[in-house]
Amino acid sequence: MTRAFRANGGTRNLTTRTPTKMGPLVLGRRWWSLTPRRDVGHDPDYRFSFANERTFLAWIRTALALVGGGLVVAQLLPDLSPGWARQALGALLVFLGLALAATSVVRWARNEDAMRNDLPLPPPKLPVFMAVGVGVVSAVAVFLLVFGGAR
Amino acid sequence: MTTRRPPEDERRVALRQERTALAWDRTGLGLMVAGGLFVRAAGPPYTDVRHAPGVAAMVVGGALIVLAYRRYGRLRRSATPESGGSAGMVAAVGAVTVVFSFAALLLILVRG
Repeated sequence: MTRAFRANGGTRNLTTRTPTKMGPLVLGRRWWSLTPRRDVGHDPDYRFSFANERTFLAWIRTALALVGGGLVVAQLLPDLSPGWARQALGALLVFLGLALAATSVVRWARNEDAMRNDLPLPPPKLPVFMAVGVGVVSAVAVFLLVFGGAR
Repeated sequence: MTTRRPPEDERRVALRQERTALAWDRTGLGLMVAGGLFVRAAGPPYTDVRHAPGVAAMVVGGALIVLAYRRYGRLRRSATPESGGSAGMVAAVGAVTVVFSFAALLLILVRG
């Protein structure tokens, strides 16, 4: 199976074996195949590698804050009306964190890949995704507080 | 007695490595705090298997801080700072965070 890996216009083919079933080993191999190949391009300036790494870590911490916030909301917020609203808000935040964590790895790999191949960095979509996600959660929270009210 | 002043570039490299190590430390601490919140949300009894994701996140967070410290020491001693050598740590932290987040989502949906 051939999978295209795009880095802002630059396309690279990664050859992977077609998995027969979705075991942990297959999942792990797929996850690992996201990391940049070290046999193509050249090692980027380590300053940029460090900067890319720190940016990835900042996104992971944001994801962890969202997951932690979701757990706190589901646990500590007063009951809202309807009864499932508190859990829904918490689940939304955790889902946002989950999506952010998964996307940030892909983003790090694409940046590293672009740097290895002297390509421009792919356009950042994570800040938009984050802003829209948090905006939606905030809007839902305000709606629930105004029209549902705490019990 | 005067001490030799390190070149400008050398100091910049050292501070850059330190910032990166601190970023790893903060992420490790974040994982530990999130793991603690998970255990708190899962509730007693605390010996139950449902706390495993939270405990695992705390352990990985602690391990991350140790690994970051060791990597920082290795880089400080190295004459040529390595490049792109952190792919394993990045992939591992990403995978742990995704799995942990999924477990947290399940916990909220199942337990409330």
